[in-house]
Amino acid sequence: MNDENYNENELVNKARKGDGDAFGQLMHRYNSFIYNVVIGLVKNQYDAQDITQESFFKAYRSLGSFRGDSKFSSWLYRIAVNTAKDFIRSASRRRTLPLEPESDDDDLPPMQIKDDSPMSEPQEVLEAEERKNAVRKAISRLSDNHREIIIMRDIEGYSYEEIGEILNLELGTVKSRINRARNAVKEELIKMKII
Amino acid sequence: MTCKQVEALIPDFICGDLEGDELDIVRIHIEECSDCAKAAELFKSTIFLIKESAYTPPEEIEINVKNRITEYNKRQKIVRLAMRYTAVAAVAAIILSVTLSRLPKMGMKSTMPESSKDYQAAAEMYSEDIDMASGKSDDSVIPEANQIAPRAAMMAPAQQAVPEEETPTAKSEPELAAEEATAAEAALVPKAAPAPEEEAFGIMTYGLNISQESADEAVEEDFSDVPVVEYFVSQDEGSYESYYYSGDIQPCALYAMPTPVLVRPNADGAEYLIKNYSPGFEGKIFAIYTTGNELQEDPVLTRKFNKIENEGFNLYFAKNTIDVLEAVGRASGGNYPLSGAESAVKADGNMYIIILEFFKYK
Repeated sequence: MNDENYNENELVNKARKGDGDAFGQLMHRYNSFIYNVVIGLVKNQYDAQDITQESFFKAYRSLGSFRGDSKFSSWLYRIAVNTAKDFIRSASRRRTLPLEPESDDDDLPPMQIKDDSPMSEPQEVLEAEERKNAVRKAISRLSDNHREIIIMRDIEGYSYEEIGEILNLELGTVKSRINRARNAVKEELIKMKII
Repeated sequence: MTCKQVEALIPDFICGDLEGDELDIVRIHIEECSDCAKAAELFKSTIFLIKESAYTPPEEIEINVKNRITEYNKRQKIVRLAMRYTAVAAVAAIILSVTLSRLPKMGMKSTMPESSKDYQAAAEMYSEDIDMASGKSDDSVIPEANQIAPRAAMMAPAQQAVPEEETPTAKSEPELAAEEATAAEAALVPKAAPAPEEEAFGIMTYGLNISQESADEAVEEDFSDVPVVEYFVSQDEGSYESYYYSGDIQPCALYAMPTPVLVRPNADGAEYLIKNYSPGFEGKIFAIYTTGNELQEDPVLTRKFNKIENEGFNLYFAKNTIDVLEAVGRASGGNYPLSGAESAVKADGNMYIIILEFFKYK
């Protein structure tokens, strides 16, 4: 067991005993991962925030049932995906016909322009944001399987082994799926004339 | 190395996963081959753009969850205190069961017709349960010896609750064992049994509405996957308040129902409670909740239900509707019809988790 796993297990054990700070550290570690996975599924930043919060809280409340057979990240990921899918299911039941035809751009969250951007020219900042949005749109068009693996590998930087563990896939399957997902993004970006 | 071979290695090359001779070969090839250089550049741009497109989670997420956890921990403390203070659910459930069984002696009658098919079915089921508890059948599910006594204590009164004309004249071995166990249980919980007639009991009933599909998933997986759609709690006599709620179960129930309803500890009282405070009894019952008290270790539940252990409580998911209804029938002392509930469940795709918590109240 490496140090990181040891520390993680320690944090999980502490959190299970009601240590909110320990759970806070776990949450900080996986916040970006869970949020990006969830936003990929629900395609709305407000819903993604609610679902991410709900997932973390559910995880905290259910730590007693986490037996440690899988990694914490894998267990947390499953809770988040299930929570998001439940949300999508119930949202689809509630959904009524829109008054206006939906635009292709509506599903994507608006960009938040950061003040600390290294680019000084507003035009450049705007272009960068537009490009970022276009890439997000390309990623959002991927299948769930391809999108999640892109997030894990290229955004969150998980190793092939970690991804295999979280998704319960063989190493070979992880690699081939990542390649197919990247190619799909690349093709989209070429089609959109981003690259 | 051919261009096709190099192309396959470009991702590893760009991500720094190549080393040794392979790294040198690919690097040199890319320097000399414009097509592969272009492919490498394209891949690099793609990865850069993907990384750049990552969403930054709002800061509020961590803050909100931490606040919610703090609040939850506070409430959990209160719940634990409340649990300690009240006579724990199991004890009271036993008391209720014992009380129901003694109705004939107390000169009270059930409002259900004695010839009811459901009543008979429930009585037969209890006989079978006693066999199970006393070790007559299926050794694989016989609980530890120290668990048999409380279980038998619950079952024996249920057997006695069968109307007089249906009560066997000779007592079988399991019945005798069960009677002995009743006595043992009474000794074990001296304050609990027998309950004086004038003593009242409170009941908290609350439940979660979940879809059949989700329930199936929950049975296969674990409690964390149960999506909570609707939460309802009984508050005042004959009325319910519904909430959209997707959080905890027990703390809110305690909060939402600070004043238990008082009823007489007899069959009419039990019927009143279940009919008025368990809307799910009309046919939407999916699982029975118990607190994590060892007295509540019920071999039949353990056998028929998937037990989910959670911090501070256990949740039993039924494998099918019939098992749930049987358990509810048992909890109600065998006085309630089951067939209507079954057809209602079939007619309605949704089920409810119904949580019944009996506790002593003065």
